[in-house]
Amino acid sequence: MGTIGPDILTRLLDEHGAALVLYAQQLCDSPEDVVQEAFLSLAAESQIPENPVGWLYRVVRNRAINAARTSRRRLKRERYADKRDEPWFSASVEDRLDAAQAAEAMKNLSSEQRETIVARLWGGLSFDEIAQLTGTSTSTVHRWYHAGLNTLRERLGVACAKKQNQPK
Amino acid sequence: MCKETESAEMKSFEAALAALTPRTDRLDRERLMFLAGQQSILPSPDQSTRLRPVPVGARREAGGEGTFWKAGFAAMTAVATVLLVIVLRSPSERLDPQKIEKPSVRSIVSRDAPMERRRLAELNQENYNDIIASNFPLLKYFAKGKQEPSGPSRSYPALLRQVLAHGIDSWQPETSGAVDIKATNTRPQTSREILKQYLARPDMFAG
Repeated sequence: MGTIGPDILTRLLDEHGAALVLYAQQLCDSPEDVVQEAFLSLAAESQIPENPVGWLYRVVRNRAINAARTSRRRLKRERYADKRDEPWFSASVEDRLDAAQAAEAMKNLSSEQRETIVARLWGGLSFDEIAQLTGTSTSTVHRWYHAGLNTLRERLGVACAKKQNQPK
Repeated sequence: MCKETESAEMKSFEAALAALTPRTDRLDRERLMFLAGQQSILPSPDQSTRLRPVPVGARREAGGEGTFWKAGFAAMTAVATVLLVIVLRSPSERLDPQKIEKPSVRSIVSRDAPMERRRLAELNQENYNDIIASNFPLLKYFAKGKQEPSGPSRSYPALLRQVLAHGIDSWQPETSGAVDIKATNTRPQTSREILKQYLARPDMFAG
């Protein structure tokens, strides 16, 4: 395997760029720069990683944490989301949930829960990959994920669509 | 049944949440691809680090340059310190007047060629006589007579040596060509008498 080609790089950028920015936003206040640097690092690699998506998330996380440290602010990572006034999601009429409300609700989650939900729902990572990414166990990641979803559902007050047929 | 409902609701909510699309306009795609292409034409992978920001917490290693200059500075400082210590501890030497030993006549004559030895000896003899005459003006009154108006007297050095070594009393005039001085009175009474005696022989002081 050689260096990553422009077509692969473009495909990764189109498919995961936005999610990576959303993920980096949970950890630092300059997610765009961090993600750009991660893609440039991927392009500079002599060999294509075995799991390019997981590699990108790992690099983004490390760089985001370093960027947060260098800013010399002792804020907790969950505060970074509060500082960001930019919308997280693109509004669409087909969405069943309000994007702004969902983003607002996610800001109130803990950093671990928010990070896990973003990586799972929009990053497409498995629980094992998220566990390796955060340096925790799979069970811990699973617990964070469901706890965060429950919290979001309560705060959003979503009435779930009852599609399945209730047994009589 | 409750659990199944709960699970279904959760999955529905999960799907609805995942349907939200993150913003795609936050990344400058064109600029990113340009930088990636620019980075790909760099000759060495090390130059690609210029595009990678160095974490502020990490120190940039100056490589060998800083170490080289630090080592050179330390070495030169040590050398300068050693030299300063040597200078401060060295004893001060007074400049004594140099005593130049003038080579003797015999040594000069011995170094020269045999055919010129006689000439050099004569020249040195003239200088010797001049020195003696200038330092001991009275000795010329005791000099033996010269057979020739010019040229040094051969017996004069011997006479001088005898007088200097043993005094005037030891001097014995020669009967052939010596000054006619009464042997009974070897020491003139006055300088006037000496002068009168030798004025009778002016040829003695020629040269």
